[in-house]
Amino acid sequence: MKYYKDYDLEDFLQDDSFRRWVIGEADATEGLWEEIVRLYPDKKVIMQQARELITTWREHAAIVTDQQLEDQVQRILHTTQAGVEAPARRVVWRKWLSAAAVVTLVAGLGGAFWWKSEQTGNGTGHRQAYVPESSKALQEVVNTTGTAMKVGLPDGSKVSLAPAGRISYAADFVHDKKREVFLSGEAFFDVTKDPQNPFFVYANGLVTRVLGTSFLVKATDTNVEVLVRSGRVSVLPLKDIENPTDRNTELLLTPNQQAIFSVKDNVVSKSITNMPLELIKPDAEAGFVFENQPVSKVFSALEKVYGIPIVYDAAVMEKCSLRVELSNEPFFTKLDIITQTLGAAYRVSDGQVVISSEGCR
Amino acid sequence: MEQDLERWKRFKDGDAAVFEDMIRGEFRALFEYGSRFVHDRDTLNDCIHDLFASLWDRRHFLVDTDKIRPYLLKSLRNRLLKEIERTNPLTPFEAWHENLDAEEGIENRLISTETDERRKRQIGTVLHSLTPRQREIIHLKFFENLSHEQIAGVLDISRPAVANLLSQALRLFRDKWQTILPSLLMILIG
Repeated sequence: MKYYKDYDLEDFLQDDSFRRWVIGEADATEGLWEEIVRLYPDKKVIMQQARELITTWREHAAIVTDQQLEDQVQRILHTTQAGVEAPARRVVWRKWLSAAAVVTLVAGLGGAFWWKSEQTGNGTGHRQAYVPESSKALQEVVNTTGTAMKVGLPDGSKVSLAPAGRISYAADFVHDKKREVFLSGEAFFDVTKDPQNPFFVYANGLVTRVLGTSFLVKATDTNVEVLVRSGRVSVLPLKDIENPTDRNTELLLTPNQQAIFSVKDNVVSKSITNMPLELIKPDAEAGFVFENQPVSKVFSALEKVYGIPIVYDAAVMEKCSLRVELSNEPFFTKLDIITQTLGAAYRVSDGQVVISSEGCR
Repeated sequence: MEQDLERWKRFKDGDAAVFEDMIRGEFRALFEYGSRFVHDRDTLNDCIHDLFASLWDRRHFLVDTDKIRPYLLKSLRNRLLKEIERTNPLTPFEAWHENLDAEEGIENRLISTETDERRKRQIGTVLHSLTPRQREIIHLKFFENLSHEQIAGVLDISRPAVANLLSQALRLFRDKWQTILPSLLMILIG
C-alpha cells in the first residue's frame, strides 16, 4: 500500500483494480480503495476525477437496445444460414446497385440536369456517384435575368447566383450527411454552419467542401475559381475522389485565398484573390500608421487583418524599419508602398506573399 | 482464456449455436467500440454484419485465438477503416485543425439525464477535444479493460507505443480537465 500516496490521476485510471471498483465489479482487493481514501484524504479529489472519467466514458457509449441487438443477430444469422452472397462482395454489389440507380435517374430526368447537355465528358461519370441515390426530384434554379439572383437553400444557406448561372440540388437537401449543390456559372455562397453535414459544391470537375463559410465559385468551360471570403473550404478535383490513395491534391483555402482549377489539366493551384478584403478591422487607434516600426510589426499587422501569410527572411530584414501611413488602399497597393519604401520586392506563391529583400542599413 | 479457445474451435467446426452465442455476446462491445469512430449506426451495423458473415464463411481458414474479444475488435477496426476510406476520401476537417463545435456529436446526444447534465457536458467537451486515436485507446483501456499487449494487438502497434499513446492521451485529458476543474469541483463537493 506504500505507493498509493504517490498515485496521480493516470495511476488510478490505469489501475485495473481501481477501475473494477468504480464500475462496481467484485474484486480481490475488497475494501482497499475505501481504506486509501481514509489513509490519504488528499487523494480524494484525484480519485473522484478518475471515477468521473471512467463512469462518464462508459455512459457515453452508444446504446444498443435489446430489440436492436436481436434484430442484428437475426440479420447476421439469416445471412450465414441462407448461405447468401459473401460479404466481401456485398459492398461491391451495393456500389453496382447505386450506379444502376443513378443511370435510371439520369435517364428518367432527361434534360433536367443542366450538365447533361452543357458539359461533355469531364467528370460526368464521377459526378454520377455523388448524385443523391434515391430518385428524389432535383430543384434547379437558372438565372435568366441580367442581375444577380438570390436563392435560399433549404438549410438556410444563401446563394447569390450570377446571370446565366445555374444551380441544382436535391429537394431532400441533407442526404447521407451531405449537403450537395451542383453549379454551372458563377455563384457566391453564404453557407449555414452545420459541421455534421458538410456542404459540397460540384462545378465542372472540382469539388469544394465547406462547413460554414462564405465563398465564390466561378465555373467556366476551362476553369473553376473558388474565392474564400470567410471560414475555411477545401477543394479537390472530382477525379481524385475516385482515387482515395492520392490525397495530395486536396487544398485547404483560408480567407482571401483562391483556388484555380484547370479543367483540361485537372490541376488545382492556390493563389490570393485579386482584391483581398480586410477580415478584421485594423486596431482602431493605430490603424496602419507605423512610425519607425520594425518591418516585422508591419507584416504581422497585415497578416492579421487580411489573413494572408507573409513570408520573409527575418534575419536579413532585421534592421529594416518603416515609417508609413496606410489606410484604405487595396492589399496589393499597400504591399507595393511598403516594398518600394524598403527597396524590396514581393511575389505571390501558393497563397502566400513572399518578400525578397537584401536587407537594410 | 482456455474457454475462448474452446469456443473458437467449436465455432470453426461449424457449431451454429456457439456462433450465435458469440454474436450475441460480442455485438454490443463491437458496436460500442465502433461508435467511437463511426457515428452512422447503419454503417456500423453493416460492418459488424459483414464481419460475422465473413468469419462464418472463412471459418475453416481462420487461425486459432484464445482472445476472441480483442480478435474481433481488431477485425472490426480494419473493416471500419476501409469503409471510412472508401466512403470519405476527403481529409477530415479536424485534420486541418478546424475546431468543430464541441456541442456536436454522439456523446452529447446520448446524455439524457438532466441532473448532472452540466458536468457531463463539460467532461464531454474534454473528451471531444481528444483525437479519434486517443479516444480509441482510452476506450480500449478503460471500457474494454484490455491489457497493453491486447491493445497493441488490436491497433497493430508496439507495446511501448501503446504506453506512450495512452499516457499522452491521459496527460492531455488531465490538462484539459484542469481548466474546467474549478466549476467541476463545486458540483462534486457541493
